[in-house]
Amino acid sequence: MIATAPVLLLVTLAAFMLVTLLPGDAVSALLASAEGLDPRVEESLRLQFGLDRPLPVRYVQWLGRLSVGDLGRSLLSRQPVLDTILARLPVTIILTAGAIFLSLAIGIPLGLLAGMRPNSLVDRFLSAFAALGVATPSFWLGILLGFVFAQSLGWLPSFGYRGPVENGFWLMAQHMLLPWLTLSAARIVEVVRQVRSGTVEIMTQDFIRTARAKGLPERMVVWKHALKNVLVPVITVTGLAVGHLLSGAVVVEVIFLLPGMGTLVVEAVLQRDFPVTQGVVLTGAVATIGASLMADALYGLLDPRIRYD
Amino acid sequence: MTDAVRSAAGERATMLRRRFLRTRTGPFFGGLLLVLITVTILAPLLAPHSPIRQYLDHTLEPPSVRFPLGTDDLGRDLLSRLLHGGRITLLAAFVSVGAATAIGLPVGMISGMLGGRGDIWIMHGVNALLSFPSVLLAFAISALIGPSLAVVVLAISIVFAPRMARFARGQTLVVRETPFVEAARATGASLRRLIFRHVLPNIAAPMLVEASLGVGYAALIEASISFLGAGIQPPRSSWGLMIKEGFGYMDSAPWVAIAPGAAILLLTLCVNVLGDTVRDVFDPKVRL
Repeated sequence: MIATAPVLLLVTLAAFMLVTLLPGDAVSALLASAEGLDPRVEESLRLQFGLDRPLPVRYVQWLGRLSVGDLGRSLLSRQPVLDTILARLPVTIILTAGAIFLSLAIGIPLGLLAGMRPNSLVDRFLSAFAALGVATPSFWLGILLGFVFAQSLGWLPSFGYRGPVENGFWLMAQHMLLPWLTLSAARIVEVVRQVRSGTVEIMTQDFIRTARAKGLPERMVVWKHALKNVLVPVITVTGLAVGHLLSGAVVVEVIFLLPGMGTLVVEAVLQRDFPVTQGVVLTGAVATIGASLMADALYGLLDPRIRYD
Repeated sequence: MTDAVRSAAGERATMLRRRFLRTRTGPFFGGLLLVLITVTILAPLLAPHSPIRQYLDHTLEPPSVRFPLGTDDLGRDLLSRLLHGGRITLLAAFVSVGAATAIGLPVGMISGMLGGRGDIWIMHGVNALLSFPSVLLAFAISALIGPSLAVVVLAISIVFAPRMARFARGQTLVVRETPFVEAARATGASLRRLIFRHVLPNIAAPMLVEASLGVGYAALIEASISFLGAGIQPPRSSWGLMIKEGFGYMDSAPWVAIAPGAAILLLTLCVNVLGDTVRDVFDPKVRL
């Protein structure tokens, strides 16, 4: 378990440095379009932004505002960064949560299937498929899926987003199915691998032999006794994978034109909107840390042998 | 005595080579990777056309004898762009993983050998950097500095260095507890001597495997940030940029985006399978 407080502090430091140490600052980004402007205007703007103060002072001030939820304002829309992020957050959460659900719902049964009969035809087929799955660039997969299922076959809408509140769950799910599949493909493969190797190991354990010996049907042995033990590490790894998923979500959102954090940050970065960039990057890191904390908590819940003192 | 050591090392090398050849996947994907690297290095000799020459009366043509993989929207030969783009993608992947290892390996070894408070704070820093979603961080860095090949390499290195550091530290912690390190420490060996003489030779093999697995992932990150518009800039080509360029023509000319994606898939597949195989070869518990 990582120590959260010092890591969070260092995360804020890194996010602060990301936009402070790199060339160009908020003022020059703001004035990029206004050429031949009086240099004194630029100077007074720098004073107004507090860019004349020493770095450590600016960091502490920024941290103080951050602690009350003030992430600054967007240089483009002048909206508070926090509001902008909160407006985009649901899309990214729906995308990521759906991908996690899909990866478990597909990965666990397939992993069990392969792990029950190691080196069988099914197992070999799945492991070859897994090697391919890990190596596939997810955005390329998304483009191909969109091409096949939306453009050629016309089974699904190829892009756009329909909120679940206004349009109902099914219309939302139709629009999200391809993004979910794209984002979860690599995770499905990971889950299959992990469940497979866990199952292979568990099936040789004494308690499985005991369960069989007392006459339990095989179904019960697998789904109740084996699965319970296999799932614990899967939960942890899923928690640790949230960072990866958020990375993937950036590209997937761009391909399928989903108005989430990914499209927000791509627009912000390309237009040098520093406060928004910083806000999204920071949110991504905090979400990653939060997910691994949650995984730790679940881990303790599922395995009573683990206690955090 | 030195002769005995030398012949033991020689025997071990022979044994490892035999184990490697016994796996069917190792030599196959290793050979494929060599072919891939060779054709991209020889791109200027092998490419049938210039990668930036625009045949404007041959835009978006399907594969033919003259253009074996077809042409893109500006009438550029896709095979030539693929070969030249591969040089950039492979260069970016190998150099950035190399740089990340050069930074991460010493940091991880020092952190692991130091222990105590120094170790704890170095690892806090490493964990903080690892909390940022990798594509997001690499994209932000390269877009904010200004897109170019060097910046892409720098961005991927920054993303990868903490990974390598954490891995090196984990390996170091294992070696640190072995009797020979303890003995060396007892004779008063300096930290530098301990690290270079005892830790490094013993963690080199797993580090190499980890780095080779990183190459595939680095290629994926390069592709992602070029796809998002903050990587390699046209008219140069990289595999990620080619997918971006083909993305808009999926309905009329799907081959434009399919070829570079397949190339990335092939590269990553070779590197991953090879890395896994080498790991098994070095692991005496795995029967081959």
